[in-house]
Formats: sequence, C-alpha cells, structure tokens
Amino acid sequence: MKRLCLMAMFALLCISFVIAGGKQERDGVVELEFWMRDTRPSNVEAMDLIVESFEQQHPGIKVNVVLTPWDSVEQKTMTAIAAGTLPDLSQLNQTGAADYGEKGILLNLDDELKSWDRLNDICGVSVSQAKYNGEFYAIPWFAGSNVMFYNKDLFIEAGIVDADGNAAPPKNWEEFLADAKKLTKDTDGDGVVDQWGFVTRGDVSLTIPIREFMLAAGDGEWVDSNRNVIVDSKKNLEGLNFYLDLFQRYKVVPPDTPSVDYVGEEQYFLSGKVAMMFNGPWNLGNMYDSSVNWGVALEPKREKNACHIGGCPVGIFNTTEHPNEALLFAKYLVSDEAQKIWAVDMGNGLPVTQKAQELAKQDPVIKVFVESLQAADADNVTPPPQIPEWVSIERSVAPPIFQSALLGEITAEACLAQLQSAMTAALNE
Amino acid sequence: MPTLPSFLSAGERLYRNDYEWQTQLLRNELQALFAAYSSDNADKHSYSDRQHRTLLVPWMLPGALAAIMWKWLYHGSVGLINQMLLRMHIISAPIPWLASTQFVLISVVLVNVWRGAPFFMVMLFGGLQTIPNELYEAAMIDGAGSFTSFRNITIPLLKPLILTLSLYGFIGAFNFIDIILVLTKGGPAHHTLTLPLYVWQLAFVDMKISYATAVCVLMCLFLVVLLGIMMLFLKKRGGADE
Amino acid sequence: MSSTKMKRFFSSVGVNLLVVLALLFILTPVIWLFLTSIKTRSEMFQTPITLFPKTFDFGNYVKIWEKIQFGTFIKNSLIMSLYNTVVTLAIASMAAYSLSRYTFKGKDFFLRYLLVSQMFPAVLVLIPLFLMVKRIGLLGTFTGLEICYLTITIPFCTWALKNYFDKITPTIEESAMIDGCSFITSYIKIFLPVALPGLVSVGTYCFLSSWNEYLFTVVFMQTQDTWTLPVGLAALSGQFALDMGLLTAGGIISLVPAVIIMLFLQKYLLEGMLAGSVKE
Repeated sequence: MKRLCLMAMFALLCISFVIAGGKQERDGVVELEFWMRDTRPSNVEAMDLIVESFEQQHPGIKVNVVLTPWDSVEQKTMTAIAAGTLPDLSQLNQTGAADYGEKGILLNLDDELKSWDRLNDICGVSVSQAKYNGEFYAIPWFAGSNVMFYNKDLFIEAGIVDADGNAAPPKNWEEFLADAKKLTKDTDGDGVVDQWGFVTRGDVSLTIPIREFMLAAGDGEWVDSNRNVIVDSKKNLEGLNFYLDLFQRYKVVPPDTPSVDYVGEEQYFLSGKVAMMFNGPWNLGNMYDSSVNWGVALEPKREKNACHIGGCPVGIFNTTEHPNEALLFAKYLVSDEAQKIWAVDMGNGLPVTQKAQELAKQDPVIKVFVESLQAADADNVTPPPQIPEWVSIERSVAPPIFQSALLGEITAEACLAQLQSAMTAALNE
Repeated sequence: MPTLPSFLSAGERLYRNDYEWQTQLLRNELQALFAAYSSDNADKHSYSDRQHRTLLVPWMLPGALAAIMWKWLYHGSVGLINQMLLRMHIISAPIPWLASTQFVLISVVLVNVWRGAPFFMVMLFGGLQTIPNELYEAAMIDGAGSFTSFRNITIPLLKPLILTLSLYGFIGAFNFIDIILVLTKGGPAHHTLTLPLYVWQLAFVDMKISYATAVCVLMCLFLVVLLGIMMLFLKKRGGADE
Repeated sequence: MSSTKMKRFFSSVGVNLLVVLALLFILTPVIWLFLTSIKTRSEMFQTPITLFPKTFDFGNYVKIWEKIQFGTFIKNSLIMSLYNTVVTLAIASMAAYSLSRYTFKGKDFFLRYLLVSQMFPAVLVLIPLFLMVKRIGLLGTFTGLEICYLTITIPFCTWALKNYFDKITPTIEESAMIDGCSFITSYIKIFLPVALPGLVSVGTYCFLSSWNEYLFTVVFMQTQDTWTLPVGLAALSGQFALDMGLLTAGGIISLVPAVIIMLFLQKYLLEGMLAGSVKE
C-alpha cells in the first residue's frame, strides 16, 4: 500500500516536470532553433549579446540557442535526422558544408548568396569553406588560424635574441630547427633532458600539424578538384619527414609526443618546459592567465607562409519551416556588430570580414593571427579540402597511419603510400 | 551490405582486443577480491565503512572528467605520477605512459580498474552481509588469521556472486568507451583500439552505420558464446556449493 | 600462542599497507582534482609541480556558479538520479522476487535475455529510443529521459537482486504467512528488511549510473534548464581547449551531493541493518 502510494506520488511528480520540447509558434513570432557547438561560457555570453541585438532589430523573430557540445554533436545530429527534429540552423565544422551537403540535409543557398554584396568583404578561405561542389551550402561565420607561440624567457636565456635583446623567434625552417636544438636541454643537471624546443600533437589529432608542415613545404594538397588523391607527393614527403625528424632524429619534442593532444600540448607550453608551439586562438584565455612570458609570431616559412586554416560556417537545414528568417539570422552573424561582438570583443575566433579584421588587428596578439591568415591566403595555402569524407580522413583514416610512422613502425614513404591507398578507398566507397 | 572481408577484419580486431579484456577482467577481479578482503577486516564496522565510502568516489565523477584527470596524471612533464616517481628516484626519466606501446595498454587498463573497483566493492559488500559472523568467529578461535579465513570462508561462499559479477564486469569492460575516448581515442597507431571504440568511430566519424551495426552484432555473438561457456561453468560450481 | 599473535600482527600490517595503497590509488585523481581547483591558473602547470597550492584561489568556485547554471544542473541530476533509483528498485525488486521464488514458463529464457540485452552498447539503441520517446510525446521531459535510464539499470538490477534474493531462505516469508500475514505485508515488513543490503548495493549502482549518465541526456535534452551535471561540465570544454580551473571546481562540486547521499544511504540504512543482525 505504501509502495503504491509512493509510486502514485512519483507519477504525479513526473507529470509536473513535463516540459514541452520542440518548436512553438506564438502568434506572429517566428522561433528559430540554432545549434551552437562552441559551448564555453565566453561563447555563450557572446551569442546571448548577438541574439539580443538581432531580436531588437527583428521583433518578429526569436532565436533559441541550443548548446550542442562538440563531443556529442554527431550523435545528436544523426538522431535528429532520423527523428525529423533537425533545427533550423546550426554551426558546422569546417568541412560541414560538404559533409552535410552531401547528405542532402542542407538548404542550397547558392541563389541567395552568390550575388550577395557582402561576399566581397569576406576573406576567400572562409567563402570556400561555405561551398560544396562550387555552390553555397552554408554561410561563413568566423575563421581560425594558427600561429607560433614562443616562450620569450627561454629564448632570451638561450641567447636567441635580436639587436635590442628581445627574443627573436625563427622565421624559416633552418632557424626553427637550429633554435629548437639550442632550446632542448637538461636544465637541472640530472642528465635527463627536461626542456624541449618544440611541442606538437602526436595523438589522433596529429593530422593537422603534419598537414601544416606539408603546407609550408609547398604542397599540403591531398585531394584535387576531381577527387583524385594526391597526398603522395615529394613536397608532402618533405613536410612529413620534417615532422617525424623532430621526434625521431633531433628529439626536440617531448618523448611522449604520440600521446600529446591539444590539452597536453598546452600544458607543456604553460609549464615553461617547451619553447615553441603552433596553436590557435582558443588558447588565449588560458595563456593570459598563465605565468609564462609568451609571444606570438608567424609560423616558420619553408616555401610558403603556411598555417592551418580553420573556422566554422553556419548551415541551414532543408527541413526548416522558416528559411527566410533563418537566412536573415545567419547573415546577421556576418554583420559588423555581430563580428565585433563574437570575434573582436570576446575573442571567440577570427572575424571573416575585412572591416572586422582590421578592427581585430588593434589587439597586438590577434593582429598576428589575422596576419597569419592573410599571409597564408596570399601564398595560396588552402584549408582542408571541402569533401564529405574529410572528417573521416582527418580523424580515423590518417591518424593510425601517421602514428605508425611516428612510432617508427613504418617509414615515411610507406606511410604516404598507405595513406594514398587508404584515402582512395575511402573516397571511392 | 557488409561483406565477408569486413566481417573478418572485425573478427581480427576482436581477437586483438581479447587480450585487453582478459587483462582487465583479471585486474578487476583482483581488485574486487581485495575490496572484499579489506571489508572483511577485523575492525569490520568502523574501518570498512570509511573506506567503503571513499572507494565509491571514482564512480561519482563523470567519466570524461575522470579521464581528463588521469590523462594529466600521466603527462610527461606536469603529470603527478612521473613527478612523484622522479622525486623518489625510482625512475630517472619520465615514462611516456600513453605514448609507448609498452605502457599504454596497462595505463588504460589501470584507469578502467580504478573506475570499476567501486562497483565490485559495493556489490560484494552486499554479498558479504549474508555470511554469518559466527563462521568468522569460529575460525578465529581455531587460530585462523584474517587471510586464511578470507580464503576459506569468504571466497567459497561468495563464489556465485563473484562469478556473476565477473560476467557483468566482463560485459561492462567490453563495452566501455567513455574513458578511452578521452585517454587515447584508440591509442598510438591503434594500439588501444577496442571494439566498442571501433564501433563508435565507424558510426560517428566515418558515418558507416550499417557496418557499425554489423560489427556490433558480431560483438554480441562473441559475448553470447563466451558467456554461455562461463554460465555453464557457473552452473556446475554453483550446484556443488548449494 | 605468540606465533599466532605474530601471524596476526604481520597479517594486519600487511592488510593495512594494502588498504593504504588502495586508498591512494583510488583517491589520487580526486585529490588532484581538488588541489587543481584551488590553484591559481599560473600555478596550475608550473614545474616542478606543487602538491599544495602556494596561493589558495577559490575563485573558480564562485565563477562556476556565475558562468553556468550550476545550481540547475545539480537539481536536475538529483531529480533524475533519485527518480531512477526509486523506480528501478521498485520494478527490479518485484521482478527479481518472482524470478527467485517462482518457476514459470520462459523463466530461463527471460534470465538469459536480461543478460544479453546488456551487451548492446547504449549508443546503438539511441536512435530507436529517441524515436519511441518522441512518438509518445515525452521528448525533453524527465520521464522520457527516465525511460532511457531504465534501459540501462533495470536489466542489471534485476539480475543482481535475483542473486541476492536467492540467498535469502524462503522460510522467512513462508513462516510469516503461515502465521497469518498477507503476502504484501510479509513482502514489505519481513522480506525487504532482510534484503536491504542487496537493495542498498543495487540502489547505489542505480544512483551513480544515473548521476554520471551523459549520452542519453545530451541527446534528449535540448534546453540548458533540463541539463544534468555531466552535460553541463562537458559544455565547459571547447573543441580544442578547456578551462581546467572551472572544470575541476565543477567536478568537486558535483561530487558533494553524491557523497552526501551515499553517506546517508550507507550510514543509516546499513548500520541499522548490521545492528539488527538478521542472519539467523
């Protein structure tokens, strides 16, 4: 009896917790659902301001921002596709236009966007990230680039300084290697090296760093415009060898590189035990709070001024009931105010419009990021290819092959050959 | 439609990962036995209550957060484990726990054991309550130390429960991915790629749902066969005890 | 006699050493978690690493309440965990009782089915469950999410409880019923108290499984108001970087309610049990 009563009470409790999900349409007000993958507090604060400003300018539209953390967004998206509960628009990853475009769930925006006047203000690499098969399937939002962070104190201590006695970071691969060797030493005299000149990622996120070296070496193209795999090339091999030699031959990177991920890499740098690392603007928050005397510079050049180019576009799903309003909001994200709030004020990535980029350059650190992006753009460095298979290649096809090479299980030549055939198989399935 | 070669490759991966799960199972059982033993300590009430509660802690943290902490502990430079070992002069250079093919499997298994021990502990503690105190008292009068009484009273009486829990622990270990996803995501060059992780990768990175489901079916078949064998074993032994 | 005493001394020293090592093993990550949460960011990654912070900084704990809806997350986690524990125990104990005491057609098959249903990774049932819950109209509600949690906890709890119940001699309820108790009274007043250790163990499992559950929650719950702690903490991480101070503070705070509830469960329920000592 007691148990039955308990269960009845619980049933009542449950009913009282019913919260209706899904979209609602109050009279005249269009509600948009926007899935955002960047869920950190600084992202949320920025987006709240942007949404507030947008809703003021468009009183008939309300935007519901749904946070979808990166580590579970694919599960959420696939479930929504199966259940027909996709939102109106969503932040995509950098090859999302190709990925979701190929799945046929994105709205084709080519007609609306190809004659959009704002396009002239947006940098070329971000525009390319919004296209699939030459047509617009998304709208650019923000960009990302990598720079070289360096530890000024370690440079000065090792005597790598310019005429004024300031730390002089390397500008090309020769200087980079020389500096890294000088900065790799045993600081406490116990016979074991405990400071390294450079740190890079070697865990399953190693595709990006390796590609960065390939880009600098002059290539970095893995797939051409006809979907032929061209990763096995001389310059790509040069880039790969440079990366592998840092670990295997010169030993200027920590010995546990094969397990170093983004967090571990940052931890190495923040501990003051490595002098240089290539990384993006997402670390700045932690950098400013740390006790390391750091600076930023362009990544060392080989044949080209290269860096990894990232960024996120926004895609509108073709199941939306309010395509016009969704497009309005997506376009608003590229407006001057929104770009300023998101990228300049709150530092959530790099702006894509010229005006906002110039504004961003007023911050001396962001200036270097923007210059890195612009220098890469000028040297025809490309972001990762806009093919639907890129995520799979970057995260599951390439990493084990590259790691095998890193561990010394296969040679660099064999590595590229295996990657060539694995990628060909992946693209032809 | 997955073809025979893909089934075979999945089978090969299964075989490769079999060792890891057996190691994990063994470790979990050792941990469990130890948990039971320490519960069974002479100061049964006060001691075991305190440590009972503490042992639950690994379970209370979200898996991803625990994995982030462990990854930090394993770090080559700012990791507590290496730093402590260095300071105590047990090693001369930091060990690349998650980077070397020698250590990575052990490191991952250790974290899994850490996470699973409370589960065994709690379940076994419940089982321990059903063993009458008089048995232990009689044994002590006869001069048995705590280890002997553990070996001759606790283990035999708890055997069905231990075997049942091992069954479940095996299934759980087989299917766990949330920690590996953060620790190694398959490890250097697939050295810690386990079946559930492979399935996750197929489904959510490569977007090959049908292939992923096929591998899952294979996994389940394998588990069913294995567990069938274990249950036969359980029935035989269980029958003898009762 | 003295050799026995020595034997006991050594074995107790050995046991104590083992216990200390085990405690160290279990607690190190959590201690590290706590120490990190009270360090300043500049000290966090310094080498040689410091165990105790040179400067204590509790700012993270304040920040985390400001930055995210932490209180809501704790409340939701508590609701879901308690909800799951009560419902699972109710259903599983009744199922386990019948599996343990009665024989019926299909019992063996059902037992084996329970076990086999555990072998599927939760990820695979995600989409079908989502579709089902959506069709019932419970998407985004706690009850809908509870249905998912139940798929995780009920099979195992039934199996485990059956094993516990098997050990309890049926004569207890039978003699109560002979003496004139109705079945329900004997079940509630006589049987359940004896089964309490098993119920507490299994209840602990249910509570902690729900406390940590991430995948179903993040997929089923859209609005932040309905998020639980694991999801809230995961959202603190970006694609590439995270705020270690906030994350660790959040982790420690999320331990507190779980610890309190576990303490309550173990102390009051079990100690009462042991005092009663029902193993006659």
